Amino acid sequence: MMNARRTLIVVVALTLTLAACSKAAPTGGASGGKATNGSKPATLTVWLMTGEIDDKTYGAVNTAFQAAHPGVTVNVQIQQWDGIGAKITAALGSNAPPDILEIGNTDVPEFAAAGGLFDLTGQKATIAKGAQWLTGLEAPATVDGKLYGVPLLAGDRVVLYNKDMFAKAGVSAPTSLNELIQAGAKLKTTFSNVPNFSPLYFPGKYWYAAIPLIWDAGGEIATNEGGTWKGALESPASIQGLQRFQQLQNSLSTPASRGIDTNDPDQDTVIASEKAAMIIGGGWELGVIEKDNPKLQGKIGAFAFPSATPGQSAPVFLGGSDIAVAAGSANSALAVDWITMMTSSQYQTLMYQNDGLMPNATGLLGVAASNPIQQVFFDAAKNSHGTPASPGWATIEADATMEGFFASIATGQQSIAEAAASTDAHLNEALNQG
Amino acid sequence: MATAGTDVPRAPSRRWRSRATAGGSPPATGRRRGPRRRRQVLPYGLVLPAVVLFTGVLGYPLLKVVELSFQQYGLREFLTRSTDWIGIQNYRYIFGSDFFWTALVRSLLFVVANVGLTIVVGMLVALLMRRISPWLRTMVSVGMVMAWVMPSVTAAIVWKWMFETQYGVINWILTHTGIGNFTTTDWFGKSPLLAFSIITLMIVWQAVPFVALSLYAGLTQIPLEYYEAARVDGASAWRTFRTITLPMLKPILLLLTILSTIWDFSVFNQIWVMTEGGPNKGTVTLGIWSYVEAFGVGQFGRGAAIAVVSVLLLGAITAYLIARMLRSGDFR
Amino acid sequence: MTPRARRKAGSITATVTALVFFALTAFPVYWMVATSFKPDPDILRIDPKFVPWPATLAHFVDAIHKPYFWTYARNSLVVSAATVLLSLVVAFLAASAVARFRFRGRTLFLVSVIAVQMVPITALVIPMFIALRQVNMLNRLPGLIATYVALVLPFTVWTLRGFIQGIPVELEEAAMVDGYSRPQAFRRVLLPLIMPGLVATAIFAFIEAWNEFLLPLVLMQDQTRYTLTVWLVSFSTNRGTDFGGLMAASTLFTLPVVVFFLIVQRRVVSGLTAGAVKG
Repeated sequence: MMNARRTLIVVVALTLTLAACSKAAPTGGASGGKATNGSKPATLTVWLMTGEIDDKTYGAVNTAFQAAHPGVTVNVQIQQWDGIGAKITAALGSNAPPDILEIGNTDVPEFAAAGGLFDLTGQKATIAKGAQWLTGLEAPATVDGKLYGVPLLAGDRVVLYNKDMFAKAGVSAPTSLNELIQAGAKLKTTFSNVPNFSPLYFPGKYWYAAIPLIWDAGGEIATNEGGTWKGALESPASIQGLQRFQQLQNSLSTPASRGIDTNDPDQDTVIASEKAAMIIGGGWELGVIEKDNPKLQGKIGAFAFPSATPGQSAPVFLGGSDIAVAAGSANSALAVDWITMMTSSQYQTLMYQNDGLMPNATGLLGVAASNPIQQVFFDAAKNSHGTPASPGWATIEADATMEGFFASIATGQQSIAEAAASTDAHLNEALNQG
Repeated sequence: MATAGTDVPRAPSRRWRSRATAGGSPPATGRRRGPRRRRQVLPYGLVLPAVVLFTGVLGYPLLKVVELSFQQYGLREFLTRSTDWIGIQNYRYIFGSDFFWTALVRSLLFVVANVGLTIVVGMLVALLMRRISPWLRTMVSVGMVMAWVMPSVTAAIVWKWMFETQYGVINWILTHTGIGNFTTTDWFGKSPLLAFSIITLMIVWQAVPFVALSLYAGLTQIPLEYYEAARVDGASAWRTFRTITLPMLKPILLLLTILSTIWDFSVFNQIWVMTEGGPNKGTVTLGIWSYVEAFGVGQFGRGAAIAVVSVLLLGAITAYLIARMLRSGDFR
Repeated sequence: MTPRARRKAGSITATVTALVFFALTAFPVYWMVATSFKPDPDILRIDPKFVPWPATLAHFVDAIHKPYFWTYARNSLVVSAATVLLSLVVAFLAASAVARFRFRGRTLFLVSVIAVQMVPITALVIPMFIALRQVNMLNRLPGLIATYVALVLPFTVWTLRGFIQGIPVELEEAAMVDGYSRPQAFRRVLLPLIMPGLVATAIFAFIEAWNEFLLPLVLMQDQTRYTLTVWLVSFSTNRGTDFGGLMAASTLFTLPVVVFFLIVQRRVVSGLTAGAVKG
């Protein structure tokens, strides 16, 4: 009896300890301290994405910022891409969100429309100081005419090609879509002895590279008519773009590439192992290719993806990020100051020099003048285009609609008309849900 | 709720007979056997930590899930901490969506195939483990544990590579051993059925270790004399299995079946990595659909409603098994 | 064939089958490990390389040098170990109650423990977030541990219940005759005998805690509070996936669990002996 009771007491004590653990004192570990009337120094928490702005660049910004705001510490936390949507959602919903966040330009509309970001409309002039921001970055950050994020950095894709292969086949950088197809045919003949060779390796799921063909033909993914979004893939212009895509993909890329994405296998490996003469890639891919196959160092060139109209380049899909202030931030004034610095032409130029990233304004696109390959990327970005600035776009990204759409056209699983119709229906539903 | 009277009528086990005497006869030494009333407190005390933990950690969230299922609860409501009641609209949306029914049928077939294979193969492996030498047994166990603990995303990526059309090792082996020309076989992009087969193979591969090890642990508990007796009686392997092994393992088998059913019903990572629901949304199961609705669309209210529906569905499917498990455990 | 020869042939078949099974089970694992040693150009080739030669340690070095790796590793170990210990204790107590006693609410408890498993974790994450936010337990490891224990309870309680039921109650009663109280009988008699069950349960709890990704991602906000699973996904970026790095990281990731398993699996053997000895 004594022992049963003793055990019971132990058990109850254990339980109460457990219960006590879960009702502990308020947390002090959350990031983003509060500025309490100057008695405690303020900390500004900044979330930046990995692989982009490095510590030399933001270190410089921090130094200048702290000089202008003595007593304020800046805590930069580098975030990973995987699961970042859920992380930002959770962070913005917590009691102490980070003050400043870098958000991908296609994700900004969602958080802006949900009231998670601070309204910067009133301060746009002070922040921009007359700079002409890239539309592909500014438009998604503008919801209902209000600005919720500032363009931070951009990225686009151009055609990377193997100069030796081009020389062997006797072709030069094409200046129109037709020339591209002809060049592809010549490359195919010249390298017919290489198994599984693609003149242009273009995976069917690679929607970032496929969409420009729609835009070039004058089509659109979706249009906003008086507040209602309507899928526009069935318009004659879009259909023409899709037909061009199908023709290009099917004739210039291996059949095995029709239903896959750029990761498996990595398209940089494909061109590095000389199984392809061209790929459509971003700036960083150049380095990856050369590292994969050191023989190709200096042998990779670039040209903008040509338009169907001779002499022009097709519009590019502008990727990149905006930088925003959390609506729940306790230091919004300081945050806006920091953002103003980071997006100013001075530090944008530094960002290019240190990290090779494309700056946020058209006026700054000349910084790469000394680097001909970078200049190709930057010039192409002058004609840029973004995805529909609807919060519902997040759904389209989440369920991989665009990937599936282009893949089913490339593989022939669906006819162009069918695919466009079903995807438009899904767009109509998803984009209007915001 | 179980009371003594409603249990399955069986001969009272010796356990209860001894308990009855303990309370009724005068205790040999009064200190150790307290009055019956005092003893009844102990089970509640033992269960208390689990109950506290459960209700503390999951109680509120569970109620919240039900509550959210009747609300329009998206990112906006989450961030602005507001509520927006819409009654059964979420449920209407679910049951009115063609997609729901297609995904449901797919999920059911998927679960049956996966659970069936997992349990059968797991049982066979457990039996096998009994017959082999200890070092081989350790080796097999370690192999299985590595497969089990491999993160599901990594596993899905590795399997996706292995079955890759041009660069995959499977196609290479199949072609080079002369089984046929597999150099252009697309396992994931053409036929949802083929894609599902590979996904099933992968999930079973990762699920069998857990089942096999648990069943093996259960097997070690069966007294060897039973098998000795059966062998002396000349019983065949199948008969021994059916009359000794199976009944003794029934509780754990039922538990594993129920848990496997529940887990396979909500599989997400593996399918997503391998097909993203394609080709042409042909591999979208209820698990994929509910994740996209909850996180992708940002409609947690709808996600909550789907969760409620899933629980009711799973409950209905496993009710029979759960009841049997409860009963069989009490049979001594 | 004599019975002895038949048994010998049987065990040869068993050995061969076991080896084939091992080969099939371990192949994808081998592929993961081999890839972690392959230099990048060797990873995806038309003619796959079965043996990683020349091999490189670059992926492992990169993986370990990722920011906060040691912090995440420590967090994961602490959280997983705590989950195992806590869930074993809580589940053993509850399972002994449920298996040895009949009391009001027993079935309700058992059924609700299973029923909770049926709720998809993706639906629970947001409400859990809201709940923890309200008691200020967001971003704290004990909060995470508590959720893990709650989530592994169904399997642990039910499994231990099954194992306990497999031990004749007479053994405890014999101990009680000898002067032990009920709880002491549980500890001294029952506990050692259900070692195999405890081991299986411990392994399960460890793996569940070790592999959990969504909960730490959402419930923790500070970079120093994340677990190793967050590190694991850092190899997939918006610029593609570093496959060599991911495979190296995954290999490292699975090691502690394998080590844990090797340490505890010997208990299964001792459990086997105990089972043979008992009457």
